[in-house]
Amino acid sequence: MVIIRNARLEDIVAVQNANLQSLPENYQMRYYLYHFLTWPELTHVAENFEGKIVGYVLGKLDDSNKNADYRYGMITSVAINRHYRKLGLATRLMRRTLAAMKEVYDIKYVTLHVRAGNDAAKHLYQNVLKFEKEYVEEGYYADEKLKETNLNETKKEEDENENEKKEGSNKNNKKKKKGRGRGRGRGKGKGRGRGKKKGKGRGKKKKGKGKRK
Amino acid sequence: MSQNKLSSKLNTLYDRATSLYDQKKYQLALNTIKDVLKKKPDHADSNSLKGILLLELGNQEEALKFCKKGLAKGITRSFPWQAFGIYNKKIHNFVEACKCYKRASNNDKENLGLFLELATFQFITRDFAGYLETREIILKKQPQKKDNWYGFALANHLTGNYEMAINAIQKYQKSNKLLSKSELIELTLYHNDLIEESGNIQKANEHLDKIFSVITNKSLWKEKKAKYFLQLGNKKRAEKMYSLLLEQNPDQIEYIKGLEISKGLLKSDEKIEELDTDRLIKLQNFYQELNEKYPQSILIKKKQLEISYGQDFKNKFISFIIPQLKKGIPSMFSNLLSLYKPSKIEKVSSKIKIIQETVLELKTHLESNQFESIQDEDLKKNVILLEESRASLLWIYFYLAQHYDKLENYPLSFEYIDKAIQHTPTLIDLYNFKGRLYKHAGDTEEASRFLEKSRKLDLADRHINNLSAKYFIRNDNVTRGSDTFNIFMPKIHNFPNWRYFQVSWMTNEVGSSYLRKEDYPKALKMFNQTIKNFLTYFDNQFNYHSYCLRDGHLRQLVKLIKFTDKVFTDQFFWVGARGAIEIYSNLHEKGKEFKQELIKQCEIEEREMKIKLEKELSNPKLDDDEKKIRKDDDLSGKKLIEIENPLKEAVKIIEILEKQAPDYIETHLLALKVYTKMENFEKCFNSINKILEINSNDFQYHKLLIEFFLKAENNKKISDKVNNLKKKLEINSLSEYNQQFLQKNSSIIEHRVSAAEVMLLLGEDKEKAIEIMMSIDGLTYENKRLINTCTNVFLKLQKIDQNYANKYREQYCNKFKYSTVFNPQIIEIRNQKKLEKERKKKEEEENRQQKKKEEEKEKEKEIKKEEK
Repeated sequence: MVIIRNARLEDIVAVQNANLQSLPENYQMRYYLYHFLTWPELTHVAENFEGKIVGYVLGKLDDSNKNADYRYGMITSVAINRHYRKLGLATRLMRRTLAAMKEVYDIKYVTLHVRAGNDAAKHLYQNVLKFEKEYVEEGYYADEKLKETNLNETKKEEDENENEKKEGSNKNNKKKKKGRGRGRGRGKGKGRGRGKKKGKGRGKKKKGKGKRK
Repeated sequence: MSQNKLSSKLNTLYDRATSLYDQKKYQLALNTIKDVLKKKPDHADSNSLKGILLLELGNQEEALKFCKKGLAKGITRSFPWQAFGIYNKKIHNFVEACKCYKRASNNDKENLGLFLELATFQFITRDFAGYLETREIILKKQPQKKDNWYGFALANHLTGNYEMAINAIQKYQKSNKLLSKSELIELTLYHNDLIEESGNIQKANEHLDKIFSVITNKSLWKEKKAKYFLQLGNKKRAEKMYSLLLEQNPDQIEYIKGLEISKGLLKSDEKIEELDTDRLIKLQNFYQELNEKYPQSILIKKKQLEISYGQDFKNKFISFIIPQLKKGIPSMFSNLLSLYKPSKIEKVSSKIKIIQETVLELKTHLESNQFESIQDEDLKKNVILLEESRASLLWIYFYLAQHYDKLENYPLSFEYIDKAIQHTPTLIDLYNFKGRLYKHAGDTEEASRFLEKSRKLDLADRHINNLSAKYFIRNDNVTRGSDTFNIFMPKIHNFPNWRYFQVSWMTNEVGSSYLRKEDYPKALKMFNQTIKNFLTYFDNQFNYHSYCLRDGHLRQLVKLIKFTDKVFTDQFFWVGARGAIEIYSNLHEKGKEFKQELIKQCEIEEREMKIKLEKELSNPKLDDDEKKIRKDDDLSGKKLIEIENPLKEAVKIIEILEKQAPDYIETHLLALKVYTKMENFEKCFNSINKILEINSNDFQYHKLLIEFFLKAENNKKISDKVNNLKKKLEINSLSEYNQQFLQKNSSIIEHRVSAAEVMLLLGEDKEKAIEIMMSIDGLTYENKRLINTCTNVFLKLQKIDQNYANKYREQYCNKFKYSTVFNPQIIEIRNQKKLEKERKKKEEEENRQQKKKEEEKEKEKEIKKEEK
């Protein structure tokens, strides 16, 4: 296993590289800096025993309206090095980030995007972490090659509580599931702004999308 | 002064030019300002404006000329200094830019914007004293603005005035009740950090108690609390805090370390191997308890393996691997890698043997399928447990393959990986590993073939895809590698942009491949891109400095300083820097004619590339931003190698490393090498002193030092200093010194080679030197693997004398039987087979065609017959 901890600024180049190695959605350094400097509590990394970053969850808050009280969390990107699958890293990293979102920012719910065809990731979000499917958004992912519809999943506060209550049963779930090991390199989820098909403008000005219920 | 006054008509023109500049319409602005200069050629501001316009349009040389002219004509004005500051910023000379803004703001004390710019440059150049001064001025000018209070507080913090910093944030907090909740929390935490950094931990601790209810991030609060308790010597309460934290996250090593220290089990600078039995047992019991409490944390289990020995280790090892073998954890071997570190302590080094015996034992039992005969009850239980999962044996084979690879026993490793593949031919990890094994054993071609095979087994996986790309490039097939890599690269109108997404690993790989082929322009273009990526990381400070002040992320801003002060020590930057410096050195060595030849080649290549780019840029779908991203005004790398003095460029990189990586020996080795070539002996003395502080027995240093002496001895001006250094190092004669070095390090191949090379440098007996270089038996090596060391030796011998190289190859071709360097016939045979295959294919195809024709003819005949 690996060490799970809150990310430090020193990890940032390694996080960018981990993203480039396993996901088709990439960002410039300034976008990572925006995350790390604004919500330092919401990014977690998995570090192997040689000190290498082998996975991360990059989290943020909805920043479309800074003055509004009504804020919710967003998962920007999740990546696990293929070689380190089957260790439950994604689950642990997600749990740490979700817990930090609630503890530090008292957010009401969390949203994320996942490819409709990514069953392994969907299993994690829906069955283990109790996210709910909200809607399917056509053409969300930029690479037209993989033509799939995509889900926007939302996790409400009630679910979160439920989830905490169900901690024990979740563990049982984890033991049962076997398919999840094939943690597809193409990643587990992301939450990039709308209309970025051209792959540019991933700067801090871009707004997150998440839809309220 | 009259030259700096414009008539109202000209003034209108000048204003139009500046507003065009603000709108980034540089060419139009340039035309306008030229009109002004026609009438008033000595107008300072106009000359300076022309300078920065030329700079924006890419004409750096002319830009400098006009910036300087503007300064000469208006040294007491502010704009010429500002313009020169902009020029310096553009060429990344921030120290000079800072000085310029200082002069500019001095000459125009009412201009707040200039002070804000100055503050940013002072922040970036870490001139904190100056930063404080400027921040004070800004605050006085504009006290109603939040950023200015934060900036003032930060400046005091950075100069060690903690009291003042605290006062500033408190004052602002009191005067402004509208702070958002999260900003208030940030300020409160920052306040606590300030007390902590001032060294008054007692006070910081009390303050932390007071702010408990404000802070939402309770984990952070607990971490701080635990740290303070430790520092204040209150170990009991520190222990309590760390226990609470560990409950939240049992996979966090820091918390476990905190517990070790607060329980008095292990001091932070103590080594486990050095503990006496009593304390070792205590430590082992502690981890046993943790393991029982957190059975899911493999981190704790792994720790247990590190602190147990002998039979105890063996038992723990078995209980560590059994569940992982059953479940099939691909990273099992990687997780245990630290146990393979060489050690002089027997009980530590014997672990490898125990691991090997244990896994082999499990393998034998599982293969034989007869468990009844197993005597040991525990073992029997475990083997039966493993038998339940059909794949256990597969994972055992896989483990053994990796194990023997690590021990550099390639034949055995191949044996086991083949067994594993035979067992389960569909597991991608196996092909992946087999490729890596070929690479380790010295056959990049076959390595690449296996990685491509594994890629084809899962086309949707970017990680596998990238690995395949990397191996293509390692095998110097850049085209296939790039094409493969680009499959997943986000594209802008079909153009995958490595520059935009800062893909340093890729530019490094491609650069290294071109360097191996001695294609310097292309290699340099790649390495230069890596270096640029890091410069961009550094430049991000410009935006985030003001962003953090505006939004109150002061704690993060302090961390940003620490991060950027070390950002160039990243391994990716090292590869780029090393590569670029090597190319610059080689360009210097090989001289002007060689360079001219390269430039000619570039020009030929560029023609085609330009046509292609023009065509792409003419796509009407592209907007201006996209065009900018796509644009490349040095397609072939020609501009990079055209430079007048390559060593000067190398020094630029070395200066970055000297600043950010002074603790790395390689920084000073590179510096010594380049400064010796430049005959900059003062700098050489510096580098030598730095190296002596880190490791005076380094083999690369040894050779560089002799090269330095050989050059420095010719220079009479520094003979005193050279003699002093020789005295310090106790050198009578270089030859004698070299022999001493050899004797001292006669068991290490790298050191022997270095000494032999020095013998050749000194013109000593060639036969003898070669003999020293060629021996392997019974020797150790500094490289990770012997084969890498020996390949390097072979390449060196090749440069000295091909005959010796051949001899070396013959001597060791059996030892490295998979290596294509030592056995070039592998490639030949492979190529022949390929040709043979192709030939057969062709023949078959021809035969088929022939048959077809004949059949058709016959058909025709029949048809004709029928017709008749």
